Amino acid sequence: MLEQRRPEVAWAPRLEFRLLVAAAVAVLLLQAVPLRQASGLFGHAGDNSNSLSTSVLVAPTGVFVADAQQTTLEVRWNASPSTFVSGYQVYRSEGSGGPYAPVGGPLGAGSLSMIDGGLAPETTYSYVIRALGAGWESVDSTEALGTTLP
Amino acid sequence: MLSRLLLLLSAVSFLGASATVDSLAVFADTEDNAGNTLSSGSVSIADTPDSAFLTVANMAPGDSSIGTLQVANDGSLQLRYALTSNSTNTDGKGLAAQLLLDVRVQTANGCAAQDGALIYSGALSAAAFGSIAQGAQAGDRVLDAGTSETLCFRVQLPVGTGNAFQGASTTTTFTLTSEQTANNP
Repeated sequence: MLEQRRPEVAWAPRLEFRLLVAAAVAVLLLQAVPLRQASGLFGHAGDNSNSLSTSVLVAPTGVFVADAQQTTLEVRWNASPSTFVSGYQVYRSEGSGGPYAPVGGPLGAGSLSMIDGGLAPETTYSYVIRALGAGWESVDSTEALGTTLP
Repeated sequence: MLSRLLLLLSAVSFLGASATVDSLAVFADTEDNAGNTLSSGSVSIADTPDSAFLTVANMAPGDSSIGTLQVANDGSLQLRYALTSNSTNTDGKGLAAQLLLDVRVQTANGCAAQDGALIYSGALSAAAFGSIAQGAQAGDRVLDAGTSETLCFRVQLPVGTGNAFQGASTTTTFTLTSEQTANNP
């Protein structure tokens, strides 16, 4: 019967020794990270944070139909509180809720009323006003309703 | 195998010890020279104010505003620096890309004169000059140790900016990054 012999191991470190070597390598690698970060040329940075925002062109308030005739309605409104308003645009719709179409051209910033003519008698119209300024147009004001006389 | 290695190390150690004993027989002298001081320099950039200098609210088309920023070299080495920026767009309106920014070097006439060298002109969202890459790059600003310069930032909302930019906002963070110029071409 042949004798079975295990091959001779030249050098077999114990498990504890291998763990010790692995731990030492890990420590060296961890130290290498800050060393790499610090190895660049001297440098320093400073941050500075700034906030910038735009305004909102506010629509005029208090829109109402002040006077009604057989073919005309007079619309009035309060000025927009925005400081850069250059004028207003009146929009009209037959009935309530739009769609609205512009009535004439833009009015000046000092205009706070408009007489709309050429209307059909005994018809309900609705109006909204938009402020204009610096190339911007506000959203619609609240709607005002008026009915021409029979 | 291990025992052989230990034997070899012992032999080498013994020989080394012998040589040390032999060297003690040679006359020797030592002279000290104290008082040599060596120190490293520093690179430090400082900005004044170290807070917001270009805060503008309620801009309308055509509005502009100027902010000044003093950049100082507080270190002991000459430095070069670059500016980078990052702008937020949390409302999705893209205000930073719409705003125009000019960065100039202040002259004796002050920032309002806007007559200094123009070192950036373009959208706020892309504000930058120089490069943070190591070494001298086009546009880098150089400051000697202990000196400073003042930059003028003029931001403008162009005429013709559309309705979509009403009520828009952005926060822009400018970052100054410096490095030594010595041995760093």
